[in-house]
Amino acid sequence: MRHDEVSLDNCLKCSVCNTVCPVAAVVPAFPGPKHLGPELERLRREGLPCDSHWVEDCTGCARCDSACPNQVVVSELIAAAKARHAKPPARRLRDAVLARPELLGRLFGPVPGLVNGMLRLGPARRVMDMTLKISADRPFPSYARPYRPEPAGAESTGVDASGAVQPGGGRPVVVYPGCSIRYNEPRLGEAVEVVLRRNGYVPIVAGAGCCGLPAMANGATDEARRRARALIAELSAAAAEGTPIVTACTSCSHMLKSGYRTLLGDDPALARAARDLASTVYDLGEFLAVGTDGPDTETVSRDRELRVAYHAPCHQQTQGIGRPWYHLLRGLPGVRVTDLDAGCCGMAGTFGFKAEKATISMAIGQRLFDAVTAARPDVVVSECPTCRLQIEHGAGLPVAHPVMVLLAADRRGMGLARMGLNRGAP
Amino acid sequence: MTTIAPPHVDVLVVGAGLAGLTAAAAAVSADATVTVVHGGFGRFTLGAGCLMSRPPGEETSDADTEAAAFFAAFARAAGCPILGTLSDQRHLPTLLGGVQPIAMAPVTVSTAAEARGRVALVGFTDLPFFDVDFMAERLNRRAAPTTTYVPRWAVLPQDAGPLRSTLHVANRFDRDPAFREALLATLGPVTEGVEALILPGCLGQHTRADEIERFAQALGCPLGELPTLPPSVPGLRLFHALRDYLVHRGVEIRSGFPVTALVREGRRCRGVLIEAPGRPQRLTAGSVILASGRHSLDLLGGTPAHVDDCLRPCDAAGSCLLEGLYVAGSILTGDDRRRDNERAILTGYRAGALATGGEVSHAA
Repeated sequence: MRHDEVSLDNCLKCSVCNTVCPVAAVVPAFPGPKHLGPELERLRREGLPCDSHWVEDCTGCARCDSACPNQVVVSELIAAAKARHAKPPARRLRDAVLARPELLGRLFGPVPGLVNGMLRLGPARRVMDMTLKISADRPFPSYARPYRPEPAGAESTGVDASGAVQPGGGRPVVVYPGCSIRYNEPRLGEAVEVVLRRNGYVPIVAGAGCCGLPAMANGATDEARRRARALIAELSAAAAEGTPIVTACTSCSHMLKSGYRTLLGDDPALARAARDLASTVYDLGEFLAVGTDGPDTETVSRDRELRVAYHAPCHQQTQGIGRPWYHLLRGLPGVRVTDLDAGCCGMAGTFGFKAEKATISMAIGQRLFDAVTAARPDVVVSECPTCRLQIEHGAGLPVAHPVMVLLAADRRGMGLARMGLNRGAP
Repeated sequence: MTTIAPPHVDVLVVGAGLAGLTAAAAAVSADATVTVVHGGFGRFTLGAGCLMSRPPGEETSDADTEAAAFFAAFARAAGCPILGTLSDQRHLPTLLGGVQPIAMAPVTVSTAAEARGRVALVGFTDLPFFDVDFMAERLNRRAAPTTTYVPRWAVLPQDAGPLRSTLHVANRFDRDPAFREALLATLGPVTEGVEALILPGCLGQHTRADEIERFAQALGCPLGELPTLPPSVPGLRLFHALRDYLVHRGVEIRSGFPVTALVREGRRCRGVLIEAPGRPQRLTAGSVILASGRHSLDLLGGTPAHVDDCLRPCDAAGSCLLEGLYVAGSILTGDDRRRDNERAILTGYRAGALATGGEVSHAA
């Protein structure tokens, strides 16, 4: 796929995009990416009416982009249509809320116990379903006390991440946690720091807030732009120094690498800053694979191999980095990794939480759930936090970020038991 | 302390059409580690992956036979068998009521080509493009006296709303056992008094050939499929089967990224660049097989690809331009584009063998 000079005329209408669309696979009436992307975009450029409520059903998985033999960035055309689409009022409030995970995190973070208890209460969820149209059948991610440091305001001048070797030795790396680590999975953030330190880096946790992908996916373009500007302001100092910016969330890295340039394309200076930022962003697995000679590990001996099933998130596949975690985990002694290779999980960020989308979301995921069942793993791993929620819900197995397995296989701590993944332990 | 070694790649294949996938399979069967990088689905997915018949009387070399046998074994292992030989002349009915001479083809397409006696062409009322009345009338004017085509119409199960394309039917067929049952019930009556059914290709993108065979057995009638206008389900099914098999064999496949440049080190090709978001990714390998079609000629300087006996690009005098680089598929000059699929599997197989140090038995 080519993210610059998008040429609509590249679309030959071959329909290959429709063949890989996970929504089209389960909703026969869905017109498919070819219609919602290039076809409607042509009408729009002619100034003809072209709104379609079906754009709301696009999950943004971008599998159409990868399949297109002619490099049309179909998903971006649909995202643009989504941004223009007028939603029914009942869904506007809900989508405005789901577009702002950072706001939710700041509200819920100080009182996680209370919030988690409430989000598990059936009546409370039914009220949310009726008023906000957030599916009552969906387990919510648990909130935790926020991972430090708290996001700074957009006016912050950025983290101290000069390229110089830090006191204590090691090269600096900026860790961009994203909302999921910050508000829901602080231990994953700690694990990322541990692994980076063990590989000779000095992790500097960025105070930056949400990457803006949830806003973009919910059609809240202005909010997404605000997030993008704030993040560029926050991280551009590090980017200018050439300090790597590492994230353990593939949706964040997808957004930082691909999303900003489209979002800010009409402002040349910002677009340039977005490009500079993108050039220094790494997925953690990608970084460990290319930034080290191979991550260090001291493996524990185990009397039975740990069976790990790997799910590659859609937004990892958009990055052109292959499957670094799959290969890293395969290199671990005593660990057997299977790539589930069963397509999109169906959660697609906030998509699966929406009452009217929950059924579609689970239907898309069925292929993956079946693959998990067939693989009979001890643990499923995936880089994307919402893929993890979906698999946990649909397949009923523990799902972790792959870095947790890397650490679990290491005798220097953070063993399996501490992570609740001790079924494969000696 | 252990360090996890980054995966080493022996062979990097550019392109995921028939040439690229066959090259990858040949390299894997020689125990090489393989990565495939491609900028989108190959052209064969727009049809059915059939090989057109050679002109009558054309010789088939041993090397060609070997390559065709390898491809057939690859497809069979992948769960989507290809039947026939390079010298076959089988007549496949087309959507326009003509016939196409085919040599090798996926199993359901082969069934359609070999059906004899009274054969029902089955159209679905919701998919009017597959006009069986028109097809039967034209075919019966020209068909051999051994075959009579009978037009029959069926109504697709509509429990989940209208199915407006063969892709919709295929997606339901893949995922929904109840839909298969309903389709079986719909097709039951049209099998009466005929020896085979021919449907527009629609029996699943991801369904294995043995499952389709079980479906046909339940129906009690041989079941053929024809390629349709894109999306053509038999071609997609072949693609997914071959791709999934390669992934299962440990091949890394990076989808959606056309190669923008070859990485050269003196006169040796060391890998390729892809334009990944953020920054270009440099993929290095022991050798590179370029099988991404004619538009990739730019990577070779824009001139038609001349190759030496070992499928390495060479100048007009025949001396190799770049070591460690092999080319396969339609990027090679050829006058008959209808034979691109044949060229793809023959050169793909050879390139895969050559890139892994296999012996060279014949000229390109």
